[in-house]
Amino acid sequence: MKKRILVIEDNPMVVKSLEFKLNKDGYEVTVAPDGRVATEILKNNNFDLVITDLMLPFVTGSQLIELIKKETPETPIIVLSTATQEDIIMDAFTMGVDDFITKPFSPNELSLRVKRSLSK
Amino acid sequence: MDYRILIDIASWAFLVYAVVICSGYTFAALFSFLEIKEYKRIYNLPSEEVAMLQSSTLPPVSILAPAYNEEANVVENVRSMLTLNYPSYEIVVINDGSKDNTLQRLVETFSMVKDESLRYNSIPTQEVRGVYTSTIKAYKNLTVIDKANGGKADALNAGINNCKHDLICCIDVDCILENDALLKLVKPFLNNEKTVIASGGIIRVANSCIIEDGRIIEVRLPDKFVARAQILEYFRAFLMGRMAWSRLDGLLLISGAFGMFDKKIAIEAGGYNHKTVGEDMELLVRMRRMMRNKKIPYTVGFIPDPLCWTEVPQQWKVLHRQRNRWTRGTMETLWMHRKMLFNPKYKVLGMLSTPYWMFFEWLAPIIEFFGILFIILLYVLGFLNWTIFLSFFALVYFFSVLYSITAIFFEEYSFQQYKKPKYIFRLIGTAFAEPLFYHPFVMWAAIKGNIDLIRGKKTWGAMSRTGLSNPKK
Amino acid sequence: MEQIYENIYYNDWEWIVKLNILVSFVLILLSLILILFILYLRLFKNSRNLKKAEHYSRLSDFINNYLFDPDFDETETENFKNNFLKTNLQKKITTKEILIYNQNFKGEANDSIKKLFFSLDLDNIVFKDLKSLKWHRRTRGLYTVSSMGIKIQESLAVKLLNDKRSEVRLQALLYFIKLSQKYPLNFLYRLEEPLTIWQQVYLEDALKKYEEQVPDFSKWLTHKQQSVVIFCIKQIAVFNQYENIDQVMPFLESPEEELKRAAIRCMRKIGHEEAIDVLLTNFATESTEIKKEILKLITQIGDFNQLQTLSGLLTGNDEEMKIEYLKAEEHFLK
Repeated sequence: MKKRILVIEDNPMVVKSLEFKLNKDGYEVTVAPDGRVATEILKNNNFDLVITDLMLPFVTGSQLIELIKKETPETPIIVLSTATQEDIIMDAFTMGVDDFITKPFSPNELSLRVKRSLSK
Repeated sequence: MDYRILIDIASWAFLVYAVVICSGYTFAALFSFLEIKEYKRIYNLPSEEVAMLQSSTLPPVSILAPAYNEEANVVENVRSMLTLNYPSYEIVVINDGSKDNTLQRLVETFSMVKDESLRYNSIPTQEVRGVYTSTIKAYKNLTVIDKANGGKADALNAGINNCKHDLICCIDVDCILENDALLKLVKPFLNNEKTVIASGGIIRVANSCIIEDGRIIEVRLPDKFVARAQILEYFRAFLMGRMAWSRLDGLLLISGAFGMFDKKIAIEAGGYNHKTVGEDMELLVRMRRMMRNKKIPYTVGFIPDPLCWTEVPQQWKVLHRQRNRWTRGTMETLWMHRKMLFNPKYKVLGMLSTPYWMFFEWLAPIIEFFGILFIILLYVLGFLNWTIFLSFFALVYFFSVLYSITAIFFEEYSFQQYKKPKYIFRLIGTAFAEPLFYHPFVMWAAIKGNIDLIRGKKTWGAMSRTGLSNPKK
Repeated sequence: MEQIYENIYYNDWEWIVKLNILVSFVLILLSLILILFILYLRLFKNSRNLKKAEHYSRLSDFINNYLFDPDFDETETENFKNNFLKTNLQKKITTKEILIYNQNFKGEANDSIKKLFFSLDLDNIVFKDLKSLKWHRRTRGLYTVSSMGIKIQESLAVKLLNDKRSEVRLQALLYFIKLSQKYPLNFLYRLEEPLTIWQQVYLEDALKKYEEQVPDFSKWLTHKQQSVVIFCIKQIAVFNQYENIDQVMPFLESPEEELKRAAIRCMRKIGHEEAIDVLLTNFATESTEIKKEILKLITQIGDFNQLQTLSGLLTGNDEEMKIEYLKAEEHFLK
């Protein structure tokens, strides 16, 4: 069975590339362009991994992380964000995310980190 | 024989006034066009948002949102403000002695507790009963101030006293902000060699738009004529009026619904004045005047992007109250700062902006009103020459239609928010009907404002809202 | 007499009525022209958007295949270039999209996307942009060359560095940082205009991404532009250049408030306690803003004794400073 990944990201270029790349890597990818759509999708589906941005329309990334940690605490979360400020990164880790990748990012590195988070 | 000369003089006076006003509008249109053209180029430049969002140099912003009896929408509005695209900002909601459960709603939803830290009040305000902060990490940037009722100006002053950052963004709590509203509005403060004291943006009409979770999903044209007429009015005021003033650096008004200020300078100028109903205009004029008196080079920024959407009154009665209040605010501000009028020391402000506000915003409806009375008088006395009257009427009518259509053209040229083809035809139709069926009404409201001010009326007048959230389809 | 007056009166108005009618017709005509123009604009924009969307979806498939498909065939690049890069609009969108990829990706994907830019011959149009009389084209051109790492003539770059539009100047600054091998900030010597905060944001970002040795910022602490000096003081803190701290110390006593504030903040970030004693000697004569900065400095890197030397504030007249002092005290006693 293919592993299922949810990508929450509002930059259309990044979404498309991630979807393409992760598909090639053999995952089943669902994308959500904003926090509201993501909340809807999360209600009815389970994922093996979630990749999310922090600054999102409607519902912020941190609110989504809190939601996921409450509903399915074992789902690993990778944050993909432009933030480099230390306090933002620290906050994310205290909320329980598995990994934090800053933009600009290397798609190959991301794919390795996804693999790593899924095999834990 | 004698009264004929009088009539002649009066006719010529009205005529001269009309010519002045029309050429003023024409110049405004030309200036605005240049400004929009330039802005479009800036807007389309390659931008590195990533760099901006990562920078430690980008100044943090405090959003101040006064709320009075807003229990229906306040939670939803705060939630949408929490998702703005900006690296560092706080939201300060000021509960201005609401009689409903505005405070309770906020405290319960966001798990807020009283914060007893010491605070210094730079500006005197009504009693602050408590400051609340959230215990949940995701809402750590939210603060709620609970205070005794004192009006919008007083609430904003309490916000100024209790906020952390040096830039403040004052908004109406029921406004809908675009995602990068702060990022755009902050730009003039950074990208200028002079001190920037304030920056403002364009207000758009949210009536009938599809709104979900405090965001505009689809821009729609309202079905009601009175709302459509106001869309044209806002196009003219913002895309033509303020764009032109911004080019001349003569802006006197940043709409109270959405504007950013340098907190230090606002405090130094004394904060919002709660003695006027036009507190937004008055503060900016006072800040500008202070900077000029201190001889510090400064400027006021203006961003033409559609960043803030608000609901305009759809009931004639409410519209009447709003315009009545605007007129009083304008008059009070002009009166308080009458020393600036025609004072060369204040340059553009003294020689152009304040005279403009006096002649075009304050006197125009009055002169128009007397013009109509004059025509009626001529008719009653049997002196009305219908040919002359109709020829003038046609001239004025077609001029205002052309002016509205130019405004629609500017909108098409710049941001094109009304996407459906039928909207364009309806807007053009509205441009033809507006001078006849809408304009006389707002003129009358302005006249009433003058009368009320002279009689000493001070209140804001309750503004009933139809509620922003559309029922789900 | 009356007869004469009547004549003038009626002639006069007759003339005006004619003029009114004429002008009204001109206004109607203008309105109609504008309406037609609005409709034309609508159609033009629509068809352009359609073309854009079509090209965009094809382009994004192509780039993703190019980047991530192991079976990607080089002939597809040639094919794309020959068939879908004919119009100016297509070239513009393609350049813009490649720049977005370049901005979001690093590592191998970034190298590949840069290579693609050259394989599609998109560098040819850039040079025309750089020499354009329109400022927005110069800006765009400069942004493209610096993002793609294309070297341009030194004389042209210096000319653009002192361009009359600040947008162009900003891109020129970034060009110098991104393309220099060794001395990324040497252009500062040739800078005549002040640096806006906006430009500083981008400069800082470019320096953070700069892969070689970050320059010694103390070299420009004597620059004639105050904004450059402030920028360098800030960067000394951002890049933790402890070795330069002695050269920042004199600014604590600068008569320019902005410089002084930047210096205090720099001390706070670096944690240089010696600054506190210098500042305490002149405390009484400082402005409220500077006093607040000093209190913040003490609470973050100083000790309670240093704060207590200022306890005179409690009996002073300045209510605001009283509260600031109490807040600082609260911090130490907690």
